[in-house]
Amino acid sequence: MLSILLVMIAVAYMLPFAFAVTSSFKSKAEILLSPIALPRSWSVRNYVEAIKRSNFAISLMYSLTITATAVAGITIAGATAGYAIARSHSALSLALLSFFGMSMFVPFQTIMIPLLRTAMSLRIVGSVPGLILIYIGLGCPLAVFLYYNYMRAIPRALEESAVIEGCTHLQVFRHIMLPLARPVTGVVAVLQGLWIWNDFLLPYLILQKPLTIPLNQVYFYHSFNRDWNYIMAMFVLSTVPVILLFLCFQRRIISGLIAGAVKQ
Amino acid sequence: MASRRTRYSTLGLALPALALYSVFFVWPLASGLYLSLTDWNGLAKTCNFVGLRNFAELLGDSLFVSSIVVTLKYAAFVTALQVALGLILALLLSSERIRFRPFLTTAFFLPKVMSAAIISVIWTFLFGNAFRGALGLIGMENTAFSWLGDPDRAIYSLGIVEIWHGLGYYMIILMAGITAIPSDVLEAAEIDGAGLWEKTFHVTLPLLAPTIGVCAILAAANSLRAFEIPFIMTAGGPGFSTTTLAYFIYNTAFQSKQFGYGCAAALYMLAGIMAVTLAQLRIVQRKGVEY
Repeated sequence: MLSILLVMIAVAYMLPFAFAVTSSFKSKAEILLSPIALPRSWSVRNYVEAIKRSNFAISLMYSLTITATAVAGITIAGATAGYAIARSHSALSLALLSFFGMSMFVPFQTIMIPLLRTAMSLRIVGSVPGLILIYIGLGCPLAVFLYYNYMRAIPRALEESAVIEGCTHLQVFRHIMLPLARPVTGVVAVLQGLWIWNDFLLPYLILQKPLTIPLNQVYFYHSFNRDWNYIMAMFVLSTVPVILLFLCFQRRIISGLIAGAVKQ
Repeated sequence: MASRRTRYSTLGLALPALALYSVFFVWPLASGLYLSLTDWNGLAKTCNFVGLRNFAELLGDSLFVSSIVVTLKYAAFVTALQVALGLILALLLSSERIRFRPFLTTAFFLPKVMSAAIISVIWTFLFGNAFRGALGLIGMENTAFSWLGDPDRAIYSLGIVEIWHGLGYYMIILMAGITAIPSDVLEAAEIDGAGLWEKTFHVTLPLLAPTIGVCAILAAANSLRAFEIPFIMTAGGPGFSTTTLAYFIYNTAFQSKQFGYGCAAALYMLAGIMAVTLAQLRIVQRKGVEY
């Protein structure tokens, strides 16, 4: 009995998606007159229009590029720094950890205004590579902590024997430490990937053009304010990639998010 | 000699992270501290040093004070319901007697993977068209009220969106906490004759207290930063009834061009969030000792 009740609640919980999907196939008039009913015909006209009017393909490309590059950058910067701190003397590593730790408490709005000033003086306002660099700078502290914690526990004997064999530190890092720390890389990719893919305010301030998917959705909503049929088609398009990704890697994503929560 | 060179070469590996973090976080934080003491307007090359005037003026700014009240209302509403509902769901979904658990977990967690900006758009639609249509179906269209247009109600309507968005996250953290409770403790309670009710209230919940505390801290810190949902759904209105602190800072800087003033407000926000987080942390730690 309780199971059935919970299933009903869960279905109700997902009704917003159901509304979006059904509305995305209706005409504008149909949405206003019969918002609840199923669409009269399952025409994809709204999707064709929404894709054309919003340049959806371009924003998808930008979102993918920005997220993938920034996550790769965070992984590399975070793993190298985490490794360096794990292998340095205790006083120094403590100092570096607290230096990175400062960012944990600070809400984005506290640095938002001066960050834009910094971006203006570096002339990276409106620049996609600039946005990626900012993401790496803001996203690496969490990665540093996760990698530090993990690599600290890896016995030094492994590296020492590699060094005796003639490996440089970079090679040790690249061929021994990074592969060993693969679980951390998964966690970092999930946490920072979701954050960057979904982020709104930072790209809104830095790019000032509807280049990423969340920006595109919001700009589209503002410029087609009452055309709910197009807006709903756009909503479905915007959420399908991340929902598919979630359904495929559900277990890993959930465990990644839990690991992140416990660390914070 | 060799050991010193080793030390420097490992430290060199920390340079990329240190450089980008310093440029895009530490430097803005430090220059924000300085800008808060000036009347910088965002465009001028120069600005005047005004000391603590911005901080003093903010305390008398009724819009700033109201944005704090709005934010606290929102955060209290969201945090209480996210943690309470998340806990109930986690307890239910951890019970072996419930079927379809993978489906239920996915359903409640799914909104979390989506952008707050994107779900704000769909909820604007739901509050406007869909709910009215649903009430129309049961012949109660006239009783429909404006979810987003009523200044007393709008902030709680936005709270509902935030709760819907984040609830599943706290649910899975709490489920992980429940899984981590050693089964022999629960078995011992069973042998002592404890029923389901007693096991839940006298064993599970006390052992779960630190995890509940972590959830409360995360939920509070998150909802105190509310920006996207009011920005997109209500633009801070009607009136200023949904202008949260984060939104006030945004407006001060980018609408009124009072960047120095906005930096000062942002530092109040930092102090507030740190105070709330540290207070909660102390409570959680004290609770942890009790059991």
